[in-house]
Amino acid sequence: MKLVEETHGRVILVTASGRLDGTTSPAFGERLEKLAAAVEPRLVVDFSGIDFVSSAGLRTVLTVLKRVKAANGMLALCAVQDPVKEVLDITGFTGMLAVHSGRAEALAALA
Amino acid sequence: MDAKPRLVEQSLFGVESVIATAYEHHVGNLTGAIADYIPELAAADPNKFGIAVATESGKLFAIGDAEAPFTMQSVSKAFVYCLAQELIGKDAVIERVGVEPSGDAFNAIVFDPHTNRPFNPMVNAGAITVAGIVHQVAGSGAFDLIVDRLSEAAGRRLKMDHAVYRSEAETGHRNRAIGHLLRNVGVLKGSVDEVVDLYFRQCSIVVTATDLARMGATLANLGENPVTGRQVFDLLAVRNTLAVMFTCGMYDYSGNWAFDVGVPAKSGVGGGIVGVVNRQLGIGTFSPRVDPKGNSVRGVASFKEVANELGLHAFDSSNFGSTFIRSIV
Repeated sequence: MKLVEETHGRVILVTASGRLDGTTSPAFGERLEKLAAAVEPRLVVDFSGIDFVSSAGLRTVLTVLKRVKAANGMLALCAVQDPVKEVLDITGFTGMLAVHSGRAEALAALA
Repeated sequence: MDAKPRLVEQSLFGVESVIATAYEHHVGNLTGAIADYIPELAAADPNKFGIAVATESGKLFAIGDAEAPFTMQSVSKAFVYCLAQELIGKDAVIERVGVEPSGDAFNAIVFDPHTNRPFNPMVNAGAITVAGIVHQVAGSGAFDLIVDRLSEAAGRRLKMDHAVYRSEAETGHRNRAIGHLLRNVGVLKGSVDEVVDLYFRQCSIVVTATDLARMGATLANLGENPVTGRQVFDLLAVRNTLAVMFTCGMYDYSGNWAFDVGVPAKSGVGGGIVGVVNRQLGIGTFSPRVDPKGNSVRGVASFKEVANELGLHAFDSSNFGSTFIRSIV
């Protein structure tokens, strides 16, 4: 899994690529939780490069979401591939997470 | 080591890759030892390792030595318990064998002090009691009844390994002692020798990891074999069986299993494990090296990884408790 960070005003945009599963999610979670440690963090994760997310990966996303919320912050995903979006929908995660179609929309929502 | 593993019927987003990855992660784990307290089991190939997953829609994914044969041993206990409930009813079964985890080894000669009955049907004392129920109803036809029913669950004709059966029968003194104690407290009726012999036979039924996956899928699919469409087990008996598998199915590792893996399962010292995800999957693993508690080392490790990746744990954050509640609230 590759993670690239960019800053857009108050929002940190993280572009992730690869698989988000039991092997890669610890590093993913650790990196995002560090970013979530800021005051009122605003994080967008670009999921365009994520082609597979396992249940272990979903749990890590949920953990990051809880951490962000506890810090009065915001977390959103964008550009989620269709198979991954279907997983988020069926597991009920889209009811908990903000999911935007693209970067511009996500950045605007969290600005 | 075996040749490159093969995958059968690739479909379903990610399941096959999770199984393949789990296989790759654990195929090199050679810890544990073959169970040899039944002498014939010592002849097993310690390097065999296979994983199979069967869905409630009839799909199958299998890798490694998923077609390698082995004897069911204690894995049979779950299915025979399911059958026994159908034969005399749940309440009559519970009068003779409880549903509480014992925390003791599978061959412990100890009864629940509150009821003076075997703790549950997954320890030898409970399983012999259950075999006694089938014997009481079916007499000399009891083993045929068991093989018929388990074969329907697997979707193919299963057979007994006569060498393993003879080895068990010749060395099964502790199980005979348990049988006599059961007769003494009144939960075993009829001939102790015939009932214990039936128990040895059911333990010697030969299956593969693929068979276990198919049998697990039958339980997952409300008792109906997803491939043949036959109703194999009673619907309510299935629910009760899964509950006991969840709490008692992995010998004295059952608590840790429920904690870490969170699926109903039954293991056997022959190296097999069957797991069930209700309404969704049957999972079968085979690897004959077992840990000191009698559970397959690679089987347990594979289940942990597959459950983690696929969100199989009953209380995983991706799982809803009741779809009925979802529909009405």
